[in-house]
Amino acid sequence: MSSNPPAQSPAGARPAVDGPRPAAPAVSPPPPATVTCTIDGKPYTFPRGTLIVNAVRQVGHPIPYYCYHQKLAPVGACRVCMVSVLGAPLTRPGMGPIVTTGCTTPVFEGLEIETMSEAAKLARKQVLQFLLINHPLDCPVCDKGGECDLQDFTLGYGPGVSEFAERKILRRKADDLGPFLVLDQERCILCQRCVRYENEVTGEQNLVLKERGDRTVIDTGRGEPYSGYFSGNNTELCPVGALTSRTYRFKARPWDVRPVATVCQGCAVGCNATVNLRGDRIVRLLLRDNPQTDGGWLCDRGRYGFGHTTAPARLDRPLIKRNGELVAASWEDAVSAAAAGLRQGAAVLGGGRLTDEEALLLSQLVRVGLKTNDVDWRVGYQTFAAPEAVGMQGAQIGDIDGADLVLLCDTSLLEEAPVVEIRLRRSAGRNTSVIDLGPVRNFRHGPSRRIACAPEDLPARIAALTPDFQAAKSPLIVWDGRGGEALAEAIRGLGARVLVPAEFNNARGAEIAGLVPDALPGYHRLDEAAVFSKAWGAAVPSATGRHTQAILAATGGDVQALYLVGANPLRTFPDGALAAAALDRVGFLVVQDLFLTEAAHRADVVLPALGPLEKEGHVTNMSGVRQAVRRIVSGPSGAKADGEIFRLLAAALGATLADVPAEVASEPVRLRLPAGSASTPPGEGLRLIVRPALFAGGGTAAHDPNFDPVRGGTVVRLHPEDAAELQLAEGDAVHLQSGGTALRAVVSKDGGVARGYAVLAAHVAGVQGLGPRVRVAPARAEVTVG
Amino acid sequence: MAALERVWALGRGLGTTFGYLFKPRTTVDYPEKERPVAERFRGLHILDRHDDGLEKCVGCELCQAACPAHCITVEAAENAPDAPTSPGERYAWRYEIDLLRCIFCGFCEEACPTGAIQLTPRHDLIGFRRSEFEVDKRWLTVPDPRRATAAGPAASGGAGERAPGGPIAG
Ligand code: SF4
Ligand code: SF4
Ligand code: SF4
Ligand code: SF4
Ligand code: FES
Repeated sequence: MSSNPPAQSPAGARPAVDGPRPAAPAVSPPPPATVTCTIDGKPYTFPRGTLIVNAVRQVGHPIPYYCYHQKLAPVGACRVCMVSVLGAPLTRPGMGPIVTTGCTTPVFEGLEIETMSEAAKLARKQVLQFLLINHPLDCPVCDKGGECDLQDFTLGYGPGVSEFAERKILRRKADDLGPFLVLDQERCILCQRCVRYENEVTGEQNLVLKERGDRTVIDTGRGEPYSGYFSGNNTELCPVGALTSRTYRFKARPWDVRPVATVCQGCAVGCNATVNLRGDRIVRLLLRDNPQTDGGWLCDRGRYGFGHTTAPARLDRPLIKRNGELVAASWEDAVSAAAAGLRQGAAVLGGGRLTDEEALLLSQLVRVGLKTNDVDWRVGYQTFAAPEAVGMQGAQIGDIDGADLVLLCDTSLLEEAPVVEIRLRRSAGRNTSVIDLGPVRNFRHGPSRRIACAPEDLPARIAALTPDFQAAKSPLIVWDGRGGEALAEAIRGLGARVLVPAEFNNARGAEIAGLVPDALPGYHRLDEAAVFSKAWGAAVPSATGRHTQAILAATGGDVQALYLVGANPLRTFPDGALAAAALDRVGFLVVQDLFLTEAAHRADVVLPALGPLEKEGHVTNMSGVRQAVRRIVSGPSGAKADGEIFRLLAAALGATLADVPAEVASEPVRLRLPAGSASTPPGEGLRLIVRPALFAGGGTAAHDPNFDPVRGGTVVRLHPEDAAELQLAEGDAVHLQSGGTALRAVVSKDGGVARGYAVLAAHVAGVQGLGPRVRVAPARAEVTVG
Repeated sequence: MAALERVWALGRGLGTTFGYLFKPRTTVDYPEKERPVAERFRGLHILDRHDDGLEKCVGCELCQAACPAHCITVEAAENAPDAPTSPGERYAWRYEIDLLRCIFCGFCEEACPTGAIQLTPRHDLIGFRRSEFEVDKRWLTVPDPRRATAAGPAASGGAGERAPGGPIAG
């Protein structure tokens, strides 16, 4: 990967300026928007402010550069972009051309640039010689070899031999900075791209310059491990092999990989990426800029979350429960067993991880195959996916850039839509004011107004923000859909656009496809069942179905069979006790998933499905952008794409799946939201709240071997004073007790947690089984003698 | 007349053949005897080692990139710091050459930054199955001098041994 983005279209032609000239203003006229200068003897016109380095690249002349990067502010650190320039004010009349850095000098009227003058060539040659004084020249073992700017520019502009015979300074090599990042200080050319990225883009300042002069090195601040969700972008910014990826280490060379465009399905942002394949194995993911979604960055979960494609734990054959044991079975047997069991009183949960097309197939399968509307994708905390579906105005991810007021309503963009948080950090540093509302501080890398409050107080606190919202020109609300109708009503009252990070990557696609109990595909009313019946050639039930809570409560009663599609309510459903009881009670359980989850262990039939990188289709991101995904790897040979499984099941149930009717003339339905609890849970102990954590759970991340180093144990976050009262120190093992259940966890002190709360990561085994209040006891007290 | 001419031609032809009985031989009794090859003859490959027994190959894949026949496959891995296979961070855990595709151009040898892959004068490329010509590290790597002195070359699985998947070595 060359870290230098390709030059834009040639700018030789001046952009047409239409319309009459505006009337002469009273003040002095603004300078013209374009300037004309010559590059290697030919005149070109550029927008004012264009840097020489970009101007030269745009006209297709070569120019080396290391520290300059289009996504970062220019700094002029490496001095390799030298060109000869002539023209006032850089040179005085009568003076000859001077050599200067192209990345810090904008073009101006009458400037003459020479890229290949003898003086410029000599300057570059000497700079390159200096850059290599202490470089180890270990290209054969370096991961960057073959796509390294230091190799390329030294070959193109550098000297053949070095005049330096002194001993090189030795530094740290092959140093694991964090779980994903490897640093080789000897190869670093101190261009500071990484340092500037950590300053300007993430604001986390994980990487800094240390020492002075020829001892200067890149390191983490105090030598601690790199901690952050955006480390991988450094490996693409670094023009040399100083910062490389742990997962890609020595896996391939740029000439033996095949690039394929893809869309990350790690969360609902839908960042664009390029997969690199060596043979049929994914070796790495690279940036593929899309200003609409990712804004040119990936998070580490997206970049490194491909290990599940080859994980040994992947299911690769259907399983049927015989005498209490899950045993391998053929697809025919498994499908007919599943169909037989689902024929009577079945309900379906899940679907937030399917493609749009598959979700639609499942929606049909439920209606015409299982003859019910008991279907719900919402198997976690999120109560809706599309703001429009609950009477709010939706926002685009890019709207964050122009918003002057952003309300984070008990929602962490960092954990739920990481790359969007980067946008918010950048605009929070400029002219966006951020209000961080809820029991936990969610916005920690930028200025914000923090309002701590209990979850049930959110509606009142939001209503109190009305004046701020009335004063704001383009306000925005970020809410992950946790809570209920009361909160939704308060948010509607503010009248701002709403951005909803989703708990499941294609929640929005599932909702549009009608995987909800109160709407047909396209948010059509159940009254339109007749239209759909005609299009699908089978009767579509028109009675409103039940939502997840009601379905789980009715298992063992008239819900006799349950079909979990990529869902594991035991880990995701807030009322874990209900989910566990429901799965125990239900007469027949079919689980369709990639891994043998806790729910799959209890299943009567397990159907192995293909993962997100293993099938074709479209996915809809959190702001409704539909993007195509392709089959990049084949996945386990015994697994099938979800859509294919739905077709097999439909055939076994005697139904056929057809296309959706194009025209249905009804107003879209507004989804019902649960009421949400309005009172503080009674009882003793700390109040337990469960909040998403990037690497903790999720469909594939929970089982991805690439994330083993970051998953760690269960961590409970406490306010430092609460921890002090309980006499707990950082890292202490504790038992969280609630009712009859207990969970072992490790204490982490966090000043961002309001007092009286204990915060656990969502989608982690055992967490959902705890009640609303927990008693925190040191684990050593549990050790009884005898 | 014509018949006589034919007999004459036959006799002359046989005469040429007969004449060779008294000339020095140009063939040798291969494989019992071998003709010396030119000093820079490019024959079968070896993967060399350093004197301390570490493999010279660092798994850089340059030979694979240089090979015009695309018959080399290299996959690298990270050395265990306490028991390295090669000097430095990286070694080739997989190194395969499809000798039936190889054109013995020597580009791999030329590309190699460590002098690991070398073309030797050996040219006895014999086998009964195609798979026998797809040789891997066990066949290519020369014996480890440290282990060879201790247990003899056979124990080291070096070049010359008929490893599974390798052609008969001369
Ligand atoms: S580590 Fe890479 S990006 Fe950072 S200063 Fe060094 S060469 Fe530049
Ligand atoms: S933010 Fe979401 S979509 Fe983007 S790279 Fe990360 S996990 Fe993937
Ligand atoms: S000798 Fe030539 S063809 Fe044979 S492996 Fe080496 S580079 Fe390839
Ligand atoms: S044989 Fe030489 S060129 Fe080939 S991978 Fe090994 S070190 Fe690199
Ligand atoms: S690119 Fe201009 S000084 Fe580094």
